[in-house]
Amino acid sequence: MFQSTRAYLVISLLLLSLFACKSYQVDGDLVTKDVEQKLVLPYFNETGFEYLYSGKIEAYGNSLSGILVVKKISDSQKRVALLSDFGNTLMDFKIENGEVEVNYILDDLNKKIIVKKLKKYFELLVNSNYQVEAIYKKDGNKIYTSELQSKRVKLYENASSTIQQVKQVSRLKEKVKIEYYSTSDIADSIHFKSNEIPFEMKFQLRE
Amino acid sequence: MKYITVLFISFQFIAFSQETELSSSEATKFRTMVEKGTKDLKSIKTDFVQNKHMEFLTNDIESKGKMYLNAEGMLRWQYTEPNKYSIIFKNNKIYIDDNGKKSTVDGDQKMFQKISKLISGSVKGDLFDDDEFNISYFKKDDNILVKLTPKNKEMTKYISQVVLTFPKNDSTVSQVKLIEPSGDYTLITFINKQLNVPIDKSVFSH
Repeated sequence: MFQSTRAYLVISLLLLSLFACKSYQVDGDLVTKDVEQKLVLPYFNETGFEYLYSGKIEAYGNSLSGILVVKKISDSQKRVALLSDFGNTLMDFKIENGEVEVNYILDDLNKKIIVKKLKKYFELLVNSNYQVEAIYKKDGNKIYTSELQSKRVKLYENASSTIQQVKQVSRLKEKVKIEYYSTSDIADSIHFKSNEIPFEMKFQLRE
Repeated sequence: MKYITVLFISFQFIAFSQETELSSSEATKFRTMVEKGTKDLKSIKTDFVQNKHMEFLTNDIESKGKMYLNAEGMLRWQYTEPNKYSIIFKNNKIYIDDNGKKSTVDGDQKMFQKISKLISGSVKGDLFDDDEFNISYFKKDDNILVKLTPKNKEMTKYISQVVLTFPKNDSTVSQVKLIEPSGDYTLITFINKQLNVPIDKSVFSH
């Protein structure tokens, strides 16, 4: 009994290490890697500018509409808040040097597992600076690979040098996909979809 | 001398814009005036401007809309700018119309219900519920401010204080300020207020 359990554990660990060693796949031709390049997304990146979006969040079959507020306070700090249409704050996060701090969260949302996911998703949504690890090319578009929250991130740039899509991936599957639709440095609309849990957000610039 | 005059005027100005608490007889008189004034109130129809203030923002977030309230307590809270979104509170149900997408909530959304009660209560004069709130009354310029601090722990999670502004000799509110535990607040200002005008039933249909 003990031996079979040990064998099972060894096989599991071997399989895990095999997957872990599997090289990360990007659908495109490698142009360069180990580059010393920083990629800056224009969205949410103007210091002092107050970004306001009307949004809809669908999570586990529940729907919520509200207002997204993002402000880059300084080079190292951003604030992200979500409000209901009535104006009451649902959550208010401070992101500084890769750390997400909760300034306020509605009691109903204040569950460890929910807070953890929200912190992760909103940091990913508003992050502007990526350290490029490799660049790929496909059909005239560029794909940059980078890392955030210790996970791989793929950034898709179109022919007019606009980042339109950001994907956070594990070695096995796509975790999160963000699509930015824009004609300028301010995204007109944003679509955020998680493939880990039933969670989706759609934001439209408030006029 | 000139400086002393300026200083004196400045002090007077500060004194005028300060809040002074009403005495208990003044507060009772005010409450009676509000209760009397709203007793025969059949309906209210008004436009509103909603400003959300957050400590880290330079500009408040503004929304505009319309509010309708009838004698049966039906309330329509309708945003018209920048987005179209309306909520009807009727028979303990909440009917939502999100830019044409309609849904119904069975009295589950506490915040909505509290807001409904706050607004209709201030209009009908039955908000001065000493069991629910610690209430204090102030005079500021030509207005009476009623400060309501919730006693219910459940409510204090959402709102730390509600400040109602009544213009002098007016039994209905001109402003509602909902202060959150963080100190951020939402200020709702009612404009073009019309009392006892007929409101078509269709306003409250979903």
